[in-house]
Amino acid sequence: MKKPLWILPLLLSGSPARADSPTPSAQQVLGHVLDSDSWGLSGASISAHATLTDKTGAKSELSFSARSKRLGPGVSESLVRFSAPAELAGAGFLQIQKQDADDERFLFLPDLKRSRRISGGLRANAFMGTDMSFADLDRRDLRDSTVSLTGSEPIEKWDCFKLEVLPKRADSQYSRVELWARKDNYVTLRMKMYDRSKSLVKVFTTLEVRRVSGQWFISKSKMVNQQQAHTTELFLDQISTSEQFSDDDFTVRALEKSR
Amino acid sequence: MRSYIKFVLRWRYYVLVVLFVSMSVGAYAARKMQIRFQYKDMYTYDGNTMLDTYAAYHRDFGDPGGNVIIYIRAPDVFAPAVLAYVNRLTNELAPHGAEFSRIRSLTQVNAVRGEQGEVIAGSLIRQLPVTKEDSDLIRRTAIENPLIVRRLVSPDSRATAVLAELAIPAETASIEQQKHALQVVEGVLARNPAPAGITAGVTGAPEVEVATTQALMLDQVVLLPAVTAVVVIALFLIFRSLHGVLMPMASVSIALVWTAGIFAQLGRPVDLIGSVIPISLLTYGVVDPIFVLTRFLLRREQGLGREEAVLAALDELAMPCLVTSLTTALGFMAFVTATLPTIKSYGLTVGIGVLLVWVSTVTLLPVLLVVFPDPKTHARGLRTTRWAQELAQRLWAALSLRSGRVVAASTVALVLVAAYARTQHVSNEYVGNLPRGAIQNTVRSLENQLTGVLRVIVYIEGPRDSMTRPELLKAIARVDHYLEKQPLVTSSVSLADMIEVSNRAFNDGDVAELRIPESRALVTQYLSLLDPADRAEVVTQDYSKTMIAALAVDRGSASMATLRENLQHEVDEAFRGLDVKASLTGNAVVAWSAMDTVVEEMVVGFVGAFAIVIGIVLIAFRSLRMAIVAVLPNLIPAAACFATIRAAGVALRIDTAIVLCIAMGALFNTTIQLTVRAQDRLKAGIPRSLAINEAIGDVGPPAFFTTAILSAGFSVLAFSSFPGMQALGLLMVVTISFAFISDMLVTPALTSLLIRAPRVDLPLDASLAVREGV
Repeated sequence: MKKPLWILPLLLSGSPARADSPTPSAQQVLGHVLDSDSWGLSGASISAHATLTDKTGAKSELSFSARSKRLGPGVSESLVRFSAPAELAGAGFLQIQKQDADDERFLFLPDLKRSRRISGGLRANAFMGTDMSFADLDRRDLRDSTVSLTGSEPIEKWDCFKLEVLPKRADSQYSRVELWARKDNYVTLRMKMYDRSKSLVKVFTTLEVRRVSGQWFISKSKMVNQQQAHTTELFLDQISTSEQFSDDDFTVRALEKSR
Repeated sequence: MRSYIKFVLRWRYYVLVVLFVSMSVGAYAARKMQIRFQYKDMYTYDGNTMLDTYAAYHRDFGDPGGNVIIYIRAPDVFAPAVLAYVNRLTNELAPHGAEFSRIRSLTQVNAVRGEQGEVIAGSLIRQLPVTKEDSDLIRRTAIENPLIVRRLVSPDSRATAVLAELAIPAETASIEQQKHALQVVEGVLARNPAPAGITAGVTGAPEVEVATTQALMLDQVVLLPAVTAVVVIALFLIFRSLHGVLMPMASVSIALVWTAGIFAQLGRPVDLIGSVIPISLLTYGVVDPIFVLTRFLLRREQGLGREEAVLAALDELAMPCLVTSLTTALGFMAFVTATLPTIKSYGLTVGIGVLLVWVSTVTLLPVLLVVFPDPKTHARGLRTTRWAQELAQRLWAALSLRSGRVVAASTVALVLVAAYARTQHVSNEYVGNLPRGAIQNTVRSLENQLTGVLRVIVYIEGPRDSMTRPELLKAIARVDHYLEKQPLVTSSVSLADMIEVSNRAFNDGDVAELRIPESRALVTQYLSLLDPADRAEVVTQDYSKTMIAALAVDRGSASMATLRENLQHEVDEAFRGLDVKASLTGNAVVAWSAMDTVVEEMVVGFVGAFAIVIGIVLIAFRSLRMAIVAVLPNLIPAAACFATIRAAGVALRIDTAIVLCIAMGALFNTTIQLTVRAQDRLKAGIPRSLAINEAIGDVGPPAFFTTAILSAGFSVLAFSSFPGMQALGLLMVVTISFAFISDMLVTPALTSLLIRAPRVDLPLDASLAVREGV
């Protein structure tokens, strides 16, 4: 059987895990997974684009740049600025995560010329029309959960820990998440998310990983919403960890600053 | 024909075996028959040009109207206890992803709104309310949101709905799939009974189709035995013997089984139209055996042996029965030209069935008459025949000298009735056609309090990204608002609504900002913020297609035609020059247009079938006069039928217009039998009045029995669950009764005036048969 072409970059990147490491606990594995920040959401600067495909095969593109700063364990602040499609160019999104309170979110739409605070039960909602929800990006469902290590499974040539994560949060859209993380670098290679009805709702697949300044990033990935037959492919085109950001870079004022 | 009957009688036991085997084959083939009521059967046919757009709409946007609906009523549905109940139902339904693609309810729906520089996104209800203030805030948000009000909640807050959209669109789901989905919802309701003060019930398109299918099955279970009982009683009253009941019933039953086997091979389900087939065949099918049995008993009374009596009876009747069966069958088969498969298969099946009844009458019945002993009490049966004979002849005696006046008066009456019946109201219905009782009442209540059940869709196609153009969105908003003002429309939602609601939310909730912004970029930005599942309900990913979805109450296709016409005009105006294609679709458009066309076709088909039968009479008997005689007596019952339709305020729709198909079987037979017999007597030199008197004596009793049986048989439809079937029963009784009266009054008078010289040459067999009957 032919292997899909998208697997090639995955096969070519990184190095196989060592089999002689002692097995960490489920909590430790999940902690490593969250700390690995393989999407660059806490302490990196990226430029990326996404291809959205609906059930009829119609596609649309989304390009953006993002910067983020780690505020503490599990919390960060990030600012996303969109550059494509043309109509969306200049729109920005600011998220400041709080340890023990609701996250603060602001949206800047250039044609309105000012930002708006976004509140409400937004976590289950899609982020800018993609198949990633706000909850997928804030990763609180993983952090605030009961986790168990259900075994080891290879994905292609990579040995992976297989975790079963049961989110505890009342506002979580998922009842269960299955997660496969590489044993050597804790990069998530696959996730299966089950909704509250215990039906498979989304499948996340890592298609390519890249190492930048010693840190592993998922540079190409795909999220498929099984129920809506909608797909988002996310490409991190440029990744930088060298830039240092101050808190002033994550304010409403910074958000409203043109491009 | 005589040699065929002799052959059958000679090899009678082999014939019985062959008939038994063929009946078994028919029964085996018929096992695949499926009883099903689905509205799509009424408008899905090759050549329906509207189906392509309808399919495209379904492909892009699913079937948003195909929901199982839990319809909840309470004094205030925003009260904490009611919302908690709604939430419980929603959560219980959510795990059934195999059955339902999406659950919508007040506790699940998203609503974006704006307040004091803040945009509140996500769920309408983030936390279930505890206080009245919490409830009022949710109420205000919901009622102000055009995407929620009259979809999920009534404007007076007294009704709400939990909508479970079928994973397989309701339009394409089978009855079994719909039934399974309903069982899931009913199970959830059973586990979660409504608290005090709240009523909850299941409705929606799947519930309606399943319940209607069950009503259709119940109809078959009730009506077929009822018709059988009526026919059995009528046979007993005529023949006063078990024999007289069993033999005609055996003859017609085998034909029914054969026909059922053939019908199953057509691959059509037994739907509302198809459900009339067994009733039609049973009542019509028993007529020929009655004629034969009556004549057999008369011959036996004259001292003939059993075989001789059978041969004599069939010598007289086989060919006339064939001619009348042929005319009846061709009349039915004329509907094969109809576009709707269900009408085609009805015409074809009944046409074939009528011919099979004739085959069984000349094959099984003679064998049974010879194999089984004579009825012991047939003399009493003959008394009924004589009574009917005398009655008919007395009537003729009273009118024989006034033939001209009878014809003139009949013609005037026909003209007057036709003038009255000329204007017919064609209007198909969905809700009005549902079985009376709980099913119809719930849907009517749903229409009145919450939402209509008919979908009127404006499906808009354009180049990629075109749906983000403000000028196009304004045109969509214009049509959307136009629809909202229509009395039939309960709600209308569109992409414009979503943009308007977003614009208002991003402008501090200012009502004045409930509008389409001028900036295309801003429109795109709003769209990007929407949840893909919500957005996908009204626009495709590439923004090339969108729709305006209105739900309307059902007041019949005539009202809908007016709405459609006006809407088309509005759509043409609104989208002119905008480089998009806007088409009307949805079940209210596609189904209603198709069904109205089918009704018109049935009327035209009836006229065609009428002309075909007149043509057959002309050709078969080579007599223009006979053809002319056949016109007036058969136009009168047709006109009476149309007049009754108008007088009773019954609209011409698929289930009532089918009377035109069925009535073809009741027309012409007596006219032809009577005219042929009178003509043959005239040919034999018998004086005119006496010839007609004798012809009436021959034909009157069986015609009377036939009328009685057919009327009684079709009147059983009064017990149908379906209003249309009840009306059909009434119309059949009127048509059949007028056909008999007309044949007893007008046909003899016309025969007396027009059939002068016996110059026609009948086909040899027919001539022999008729001569033997004199």
